Amino acid sequence: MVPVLRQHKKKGQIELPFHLVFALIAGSVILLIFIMFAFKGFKISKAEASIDIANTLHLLLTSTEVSPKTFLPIDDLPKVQLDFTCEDFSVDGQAKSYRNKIVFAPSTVTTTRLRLWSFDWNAPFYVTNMISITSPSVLYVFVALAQDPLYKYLEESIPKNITRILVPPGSLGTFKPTGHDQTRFIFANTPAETLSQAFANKKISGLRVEGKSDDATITFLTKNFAGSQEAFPATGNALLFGAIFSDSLETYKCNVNKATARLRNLAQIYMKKQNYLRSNVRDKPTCSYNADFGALMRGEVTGVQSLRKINQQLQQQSCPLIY
Amino acid sequence: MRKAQIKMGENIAVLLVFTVLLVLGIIFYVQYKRGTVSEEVREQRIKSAIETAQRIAYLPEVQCSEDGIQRENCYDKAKIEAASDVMKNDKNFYYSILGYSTVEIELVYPPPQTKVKLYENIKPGTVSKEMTQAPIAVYVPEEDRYVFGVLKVTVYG
Repeated sequence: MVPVLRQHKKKGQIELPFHLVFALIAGSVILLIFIMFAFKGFKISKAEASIDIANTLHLLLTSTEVSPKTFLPIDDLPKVQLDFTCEDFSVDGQAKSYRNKIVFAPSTVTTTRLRLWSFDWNAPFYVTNMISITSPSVLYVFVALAQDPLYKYLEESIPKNITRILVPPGSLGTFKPTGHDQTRFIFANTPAETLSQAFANKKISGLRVEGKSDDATITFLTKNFAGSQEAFPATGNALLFGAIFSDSLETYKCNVNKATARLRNLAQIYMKKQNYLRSNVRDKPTCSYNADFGALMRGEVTGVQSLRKINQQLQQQSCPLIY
Repeated sequence: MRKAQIKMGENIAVLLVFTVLLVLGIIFYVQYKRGTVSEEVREQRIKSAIETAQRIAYLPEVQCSEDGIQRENCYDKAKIEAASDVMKNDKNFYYSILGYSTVEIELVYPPPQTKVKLYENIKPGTVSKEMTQAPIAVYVPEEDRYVFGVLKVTVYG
């Protein structure tokens, strides 16, 4: 009898700890699985929210694009990081293509508010609408004389809700950071100046603009404004606005190339239209169709004034217009 | 012992019937969803055709203009004929605007009727297509008058 009792007692001693250990391990595994599912679910819902924001922004870009000279403030975004390139934009890593849109924007902006502004590019016929995207967290500092015609034109044309200030030339050394996430300095008909040490770790970019509003030369400046990248013309104020809102030379050039490709096609179409009118307008011998589209067909925005003049003459003579 | 065997048999039968019903239910659900999804895909294609037609209405390549100001709801006959050549030669550029689609403009009234294929880019291996048509006004610049036309847009799926 005693040996049987001893065997039973030993069985219980082994079984109980084993059950405890088994329950601990199984419980931990189940808990881990639930935690993994929770994290996965959180990631998926965050991605879904980003995709929703991207789709909404894309719709807003589409509606802004078809109505030029439209200003659209967006003030109720959740705080997201938006990255803009020439071909697409992404919201917290979820990318969406622009397709054919021409969008000038900072490379990265983390914000809850956006400002969309569309403007058209004419050379001299309408070519395309362009969109600029910025945020109140980006400050545009114009370094120029208050009476400079280029600065006055920019001040009047850019919507008032886009945050900007004017700093007189020669005083940038004492200019202090204002608490904005990014600062873009635009030197209008004035040489570039170096900034104070206070901007050493700040996100800044610079642009130099020389000339008139419809025929300017723009130069993207390197980070410390001591050097510059290539200079090129911004024929038409739309390209000038684009350079102001784009902090990346590569993105700006890519957008200009997209616009220029459109210009080349349109120039071909208007040239063929001119040939068509020359052959078919017979009852008005004074109508003269001799505009030169050669440069425009190569993507060079030159001869614009001459084409404008010819079209105006046709209008005065009640002839069918080229554009 | 026999009672237990009978009980076990009952349980197995119940499980079998339940499984059969579950499988039938899943098959019906999948068939129903398949029909719904294909209908949604078709609706999406029709929507895409309408969107493409709206995009064409705003294309400066065909839109009427007066001294640089675009006129809405108007297509320029001279530009349509010129644009068909240009868009054929630069299909890649216009693919980003018009996608896989065929766009035709037909001048209907007054005669003579003429048809211009503005853009054509058929999707390789296309299995379906949807077409939408819309009446449009086409401006004839040399005569300074309007004619009736039809815009036909076919999108490929």
